[in-house]
Amino acid sequence: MSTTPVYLLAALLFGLGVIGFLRQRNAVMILMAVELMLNSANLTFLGAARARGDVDGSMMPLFLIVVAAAEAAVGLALILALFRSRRTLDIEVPRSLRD
Amino acid sequence: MREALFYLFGAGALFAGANVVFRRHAVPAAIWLVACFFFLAAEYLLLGFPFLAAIQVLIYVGAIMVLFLFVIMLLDLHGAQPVQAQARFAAGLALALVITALAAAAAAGGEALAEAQAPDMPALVEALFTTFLVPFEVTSLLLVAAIVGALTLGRSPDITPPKQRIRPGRDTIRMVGGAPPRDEAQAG
Repeated sequence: MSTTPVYLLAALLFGLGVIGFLRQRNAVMILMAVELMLNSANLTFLGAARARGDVDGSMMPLFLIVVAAAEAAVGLALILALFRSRRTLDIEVPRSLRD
Repeated sequence: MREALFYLFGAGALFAGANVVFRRHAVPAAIWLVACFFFLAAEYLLLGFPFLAAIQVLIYVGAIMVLFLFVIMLLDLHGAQPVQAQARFAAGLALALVITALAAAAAAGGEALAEAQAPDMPALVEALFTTFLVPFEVTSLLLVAAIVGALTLGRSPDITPPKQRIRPGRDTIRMVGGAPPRDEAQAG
C-alpha cells in the first residue's frame, strides 16, 4: 500500500471542508467544516509518518487534536456570546465587535 | 485486506463528510461529523496508530463533538440553516482547489507505507517527554488560556455584585440570556 490513497482521501476531505466553510452562513456549521479540515490534515501527517517510519509525523496529530479542542472551546464560547447579543448565528449579521 | 478496508472506511468518511457539508440542519450535520471521525479513527488504526485512533474517538467524539451538540441544542438551532448566496461560486472554487490537490498528490507518486511496528504508544510517549517536551508544555499553557478565554467569553455580561443577586430560595440559574432577577421579584 502506498501513500497516494491516503493523500487523496485527505485532499478530498479537505475540499469538502473548504466547500462547507464557504457555503454555510451558520457559525456552528462553519466551525464543524473547520474541524473536518483539521482532521484531513491529521490524516496527511499520519500517512507521511507511516511512509517515513519516524515518530515526528505522528506527534503532530496529538498536538493538532489539543489545538482543535482549544479552538472548539473558544469558538463555541464566542458563538454563545454572539447569540446572546444578536439573537442569531448568521455570520452576515454582526457588523462590529462591540455591542 | 488492509487496503480494501482502507478504501471502505475512506468511502465512509467521504460520505459522512459530504453529509456534514451539505446538510442544512445542524443536529444531523453534527451526528454525521461524529460518524466521519469514527471512520477516520478506523483509518488511523489501519495505518498502525491505535493510540491516536483512541485519542481521536475519546477527544474528538467524546469531548469536542459533545460540546458542539451541547451548543446546538442550547441555542435551539432546529430548522434549516441559511447558506451563502454565492455558494455555487464558492463550491466551484473549492472544487478547483481539490482538483489541484488531487493532481498534485497523484503526480507526486506514492511512497510505500512502512509496515506498522508494535503499538505506537511507547515511541510516542518517549518522544513527547524528550524531543517534544517544550511543545508539550506550551500546549498545556494553550489549554489554560483557552479555558480562561472560554470562561471570560461565556460569562453573562450583566454581572452585579453577589449581594444584590443571591436571594436564598428565589433565584434560579439561567444558562442563556435569563431574565434579570429584578423582574422575577416583581412577577412573584
